[in-house]
Amino acid sequence: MLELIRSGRLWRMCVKELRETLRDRRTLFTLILMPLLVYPLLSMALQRFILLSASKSHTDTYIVGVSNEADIEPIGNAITTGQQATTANAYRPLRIETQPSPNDTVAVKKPSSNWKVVVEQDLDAQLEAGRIDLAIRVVLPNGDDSDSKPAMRLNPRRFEVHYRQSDGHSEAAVYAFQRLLQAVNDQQALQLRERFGGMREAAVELSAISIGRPSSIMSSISTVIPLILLLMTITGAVYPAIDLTAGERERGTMEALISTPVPRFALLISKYVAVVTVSILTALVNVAGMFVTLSVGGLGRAILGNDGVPWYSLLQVFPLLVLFSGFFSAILLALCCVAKSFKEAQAYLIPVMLLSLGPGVLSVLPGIYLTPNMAVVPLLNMILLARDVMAGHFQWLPTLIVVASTLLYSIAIMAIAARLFGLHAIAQTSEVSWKNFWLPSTERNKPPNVGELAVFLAMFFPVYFVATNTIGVSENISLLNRLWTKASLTFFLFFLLPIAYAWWRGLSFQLTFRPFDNTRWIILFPAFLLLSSGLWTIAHEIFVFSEWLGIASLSPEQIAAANQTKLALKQLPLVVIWLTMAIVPAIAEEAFFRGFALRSLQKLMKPSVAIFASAILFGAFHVVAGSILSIERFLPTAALGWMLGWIAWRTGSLIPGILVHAGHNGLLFTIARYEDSLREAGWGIADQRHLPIPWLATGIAVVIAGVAIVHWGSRREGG
Amino acid sequence: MIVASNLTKRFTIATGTKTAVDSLSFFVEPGEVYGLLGPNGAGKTTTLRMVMGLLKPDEGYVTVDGLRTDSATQSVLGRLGMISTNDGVYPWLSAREMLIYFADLYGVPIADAKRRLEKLAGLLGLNGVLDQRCSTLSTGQRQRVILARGLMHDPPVMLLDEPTRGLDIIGSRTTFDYIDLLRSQGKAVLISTHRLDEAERLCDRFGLLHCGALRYEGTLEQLRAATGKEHLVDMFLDLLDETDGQAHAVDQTGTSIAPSGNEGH
Repeated sequence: MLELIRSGRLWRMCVKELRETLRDRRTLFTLILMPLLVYPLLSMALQRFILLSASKSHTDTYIVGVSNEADIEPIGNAITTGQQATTANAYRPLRIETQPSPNDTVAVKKPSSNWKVVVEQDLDAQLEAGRIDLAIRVVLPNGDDSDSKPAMRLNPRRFEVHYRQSDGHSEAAVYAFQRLLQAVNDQQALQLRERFGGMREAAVELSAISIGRPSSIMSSISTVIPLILLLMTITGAVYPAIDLTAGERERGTMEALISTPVPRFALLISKYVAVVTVSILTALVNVAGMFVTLSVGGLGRAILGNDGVPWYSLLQVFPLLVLFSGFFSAILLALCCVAKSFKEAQAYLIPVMLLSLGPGVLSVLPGIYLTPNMAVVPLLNMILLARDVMAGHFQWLPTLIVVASTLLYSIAIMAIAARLFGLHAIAQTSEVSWKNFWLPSTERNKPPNVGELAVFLAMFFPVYFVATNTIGVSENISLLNRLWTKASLTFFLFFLLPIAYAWWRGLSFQLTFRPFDNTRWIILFPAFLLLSSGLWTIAHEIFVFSEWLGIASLSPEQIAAANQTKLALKQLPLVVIWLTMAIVPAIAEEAFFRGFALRSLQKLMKPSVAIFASAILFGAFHVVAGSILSIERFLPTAALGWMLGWIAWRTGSLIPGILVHAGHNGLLFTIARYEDSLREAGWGIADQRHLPIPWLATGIAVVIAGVAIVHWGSRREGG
Repeated sequence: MIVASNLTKRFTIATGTKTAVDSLSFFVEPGEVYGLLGPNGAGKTTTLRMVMGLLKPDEGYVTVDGLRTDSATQSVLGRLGMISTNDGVYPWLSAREMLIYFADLYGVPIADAKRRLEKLAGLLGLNGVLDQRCSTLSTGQRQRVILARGLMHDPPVMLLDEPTRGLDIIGSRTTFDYIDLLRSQGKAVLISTHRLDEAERLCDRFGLLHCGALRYEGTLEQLRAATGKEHLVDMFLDLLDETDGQAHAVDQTGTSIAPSGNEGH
């Protein structure tokens, strides 16, 4: 693989795939023509809708039917008096004042509706047929005084109004009529108050003041724009993904391709690069299409106001589209690798496209937020993040988790795709399907590789993340139970799961976990004791150094919580602390990080780079454990991981690492437990302070001695 | 150049295990054209895939140029040229782009590939069409582009899987000429075909496969002497009759296999 990159062959392979794809008219259609057509058409349809709804709101005309001409006058009077009352200064409707523009109340400023009163024979039939919006009958009570003032003359009448239920316009008409009559009654009450007591003040008044900014249209369109962009980006990737995999099979070039001495993963990578590139180009064209349509078509001003098109937000969403392209292209390629033909590939992709609408719809629902747990849900996490970015709510922690988990999923999916790519062309006799992947591997004792690690991590990471977060936020668990739960979880996740996965994939236990090798215990045991007793001093200094760098200052609440935990720890038996926080984590984490992970990475890279990469992984896992991002743990744990990785590589066994790891952890927690006694003896250590020089010097000397003994006393594994 | 020893391949099917290739041994020398013959489902293509290292044999092994195909697969693939009846072209690339691409996949330096391409274009009559998009080429021209692809990296061993299936007389003749060219260049050629009449004209030695097992092997004269039949077709019909008369063969897992062999390949 490295040779392919160095010689530039991989680059030329990618260029060939891209050239082939971009020359295909069908790709160009989805890449250019679709966005060029979709956005102007959408814009036109939306403008039409806005115009229609705007004109409708200003020209609402309600047709009132009456059974005889005599009813026209009282109804007309009621409407006219009501309309006058609502606009008169004397009338103060109970209204909600909005700040900072109190004059913006719709109820008062909105132009009055038009009313038309017509005489019809069969009122109910006409109402049912929709020819009139309301049917009103005037009921005259006894003792009608026709000489009263106009407003007073209306008073004793009762209007019986018939309307169509569930018909928006008819219901709006009845509410409008009701408002007008209310205004008439209010005005009459006002006049009575003036006449009898000279009071002009109403009995009750409402003054409701809104806080914050008026709701912007951005908050609602910020949920829709990412969804449209994501869907269009998928559309761009679909055709190339099918053409470069199932299409290759259909046109008869697949067999020739896999008969070449190029690893299948490299062939797939070249296709992946082409699909991602086309997908990103599609995203770019879509963003540009949306931008131009909103700017030029006037739609931007219509729905976004004078602020215009949020081009900066669109630009911010673009990197997310790139990430999304990478993820979805991997899914598409993996699915198409199973397909024998274009048709079959399409049959696989359509359900996936429909399924991908699910998270999109979910993201529009209220109450769905990008929480840390939500950030590991594929697809949904990206849509929620895009929504937050568009709405201007950007947070680092969920963003980092979204990016990391999506990259991980993409790598894992590609590893699966590489296993399936080209199988049809080879094993025509046996059925090639996803079953090939899910069934336990028939080939046993394989060494692990990065693909296996990626697939495992993709399945493992969400479980790990959600589980550690759940324990982190659970408050009703005692410390003892929490320790046992965490230890059991660590054992299950880092020890039992990798073993089960290794069995399922047919991996060699010796090659994957290297339990025993050429450890010369008599020589090396003192070294392990030295390292486990000295490493904590360096870890402490690195922690203080991280603090000094300011990459993660602990908040006062976190320090308080840590101190509380320390206090609670003092109540627990030392054996429990050692078992749950030293021995179990050491066994489980060494099995995974220095076993499975390091061994897999060594297949791809030089030992020094693999040790470094496994240390980064070790550090990263400790950062995301718990409900908050513990960045301050990264450097010390990564450094410890680097040392443990080196020990595992040097000795060729996991056992020394387990001893050093358990010793290191155990010593740290023992010191914490006996902190008071140590302080009384004059050996006090503050968390955020440097160690005394003699302590540090001794620690470094002890570690150097341990490293020297391991270096000279062990044979390097496998030469 | 090619040595197959005791090759056995079994596939898992719904009813048990099916033996596609059964204890097959043969060899092909440089400059020799060896015909692996048999009806559809005899195990020819499975054998070719094991020769390429794309399928791992359950038993036995193959070496190409002294290299074990199951362990040194990438090195072996670099020494092989493979032409199959199902081969196609990239419609949106020109013939030149496609051939240079394949040469690059085999690690041929670009300058060498260009020289090689000019030579092959002369030999296969591709001059004048190299810069045309493959989608615009005629069937015959496409066939010649595919044949050229197999030789772009000048492999010492050529594998041809049913090279004349579906071709007309002119197409078949092009293939015959191509095989003569391979022979004249000293390449070891392994052809799998069910066209026995054509095989008689093309191959130096033959292996008659039936139900995954090699029933006869030798030159045409040797086969004639052994069977008393003049043509390969008659020899094969005799073989089928003989098998039909026998009880169904039972493989190691106890699964019955029809003598005509209906396994795919």
